Amino acid sequence: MLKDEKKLIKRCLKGEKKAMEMLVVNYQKGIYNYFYRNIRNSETAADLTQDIFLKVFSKLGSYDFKYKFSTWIYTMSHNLLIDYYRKKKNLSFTTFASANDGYIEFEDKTVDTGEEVLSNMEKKERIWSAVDKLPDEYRELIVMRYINDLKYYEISQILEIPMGTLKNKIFRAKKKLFKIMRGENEK
Amino acid sequence: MRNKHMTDEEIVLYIDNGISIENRIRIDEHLKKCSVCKAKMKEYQEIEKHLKEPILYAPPVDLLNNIKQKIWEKKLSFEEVFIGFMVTFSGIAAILAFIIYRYGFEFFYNIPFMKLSLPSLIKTGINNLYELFYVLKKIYFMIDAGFLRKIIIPRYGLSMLLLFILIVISYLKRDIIIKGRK
Repeated sequence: MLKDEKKLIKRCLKGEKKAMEMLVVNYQKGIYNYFYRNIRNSETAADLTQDIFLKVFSKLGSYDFKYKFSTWIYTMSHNLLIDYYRKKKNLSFTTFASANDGYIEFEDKTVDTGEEVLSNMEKKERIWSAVDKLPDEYRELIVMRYINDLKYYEISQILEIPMGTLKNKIFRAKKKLFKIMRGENEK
Repeated sequence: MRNKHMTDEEIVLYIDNGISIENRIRIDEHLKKCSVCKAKMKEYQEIEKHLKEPILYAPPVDLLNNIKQKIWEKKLSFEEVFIGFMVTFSGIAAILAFIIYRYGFEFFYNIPFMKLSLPSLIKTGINNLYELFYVLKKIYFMIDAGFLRKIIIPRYGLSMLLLFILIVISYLKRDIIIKGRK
């Protein structure tokens, strides 16, 4: 864990508002994207992100400094996502909003109008919309690996699965993704 | 083996560096000869490249403020509420006690207010404590309606009523008091 992050968490434990705000700023984008990529609804993603931070600050006292903070926070996020799926299953009438709802904006969209950049953006969007079509379990793995930039050992800790199983699942997720992409390209 | 086209598994493992050096060398050799596998590999590598540069969405602008608001408004523990209440209440009570001490007797009992020196103020304070002790002793040993009517209510009735009103107001407005403390 980064020394600065450790200090930041200690300051949060003392109840320093500024430190708490910094912690939220550091993680809100990753957590929000984790939920948004998995459930495709900006409002729900924002609500769940909010819930995660409330949980983080109410349980911060029980955080063990031996582990990476990102692992801890994403474990909570994963559990909350599972709860959300469970509730969603019970409320089968709930519909998901479209992928382009709300006030979402592309943050890292370049202003460059070069043809290549545009075509790269298009390709990227096609790939990420193919990710949306993956089964929940596979999509979550891709999101953790590429959106949240988590290492294999971190994902394995979060999901509580052995490394071998994780690698196998990621391989299957990618294979499925490539198949979806090929299917799209063939059209 | 290398005369056959590569499988998806082989390609994914190749991209993920999940194969042995020997297999990697063999695949590299195969890719030099097989244009079909080379094209497939290129396609997969491009997908991998784009996955590594994901489209990140900006969280709603009010998310941070909402989180902050919720965190700061988190329920306070009983101890926090109690201490907050007591500190605020004591402060208000002290101010009111001073006002009553300074102007109350003059106004209600027509007793002129006298500025006292520090030693005489302490002496008066000690006398008051004796008096209070005496009154409490009286209450304890000989509570009767006449005593209450003649001594307690005329002397301390107004202060007690004010304190009671203060307690009620503080309790009803405890949310404001606690927020004010923050």
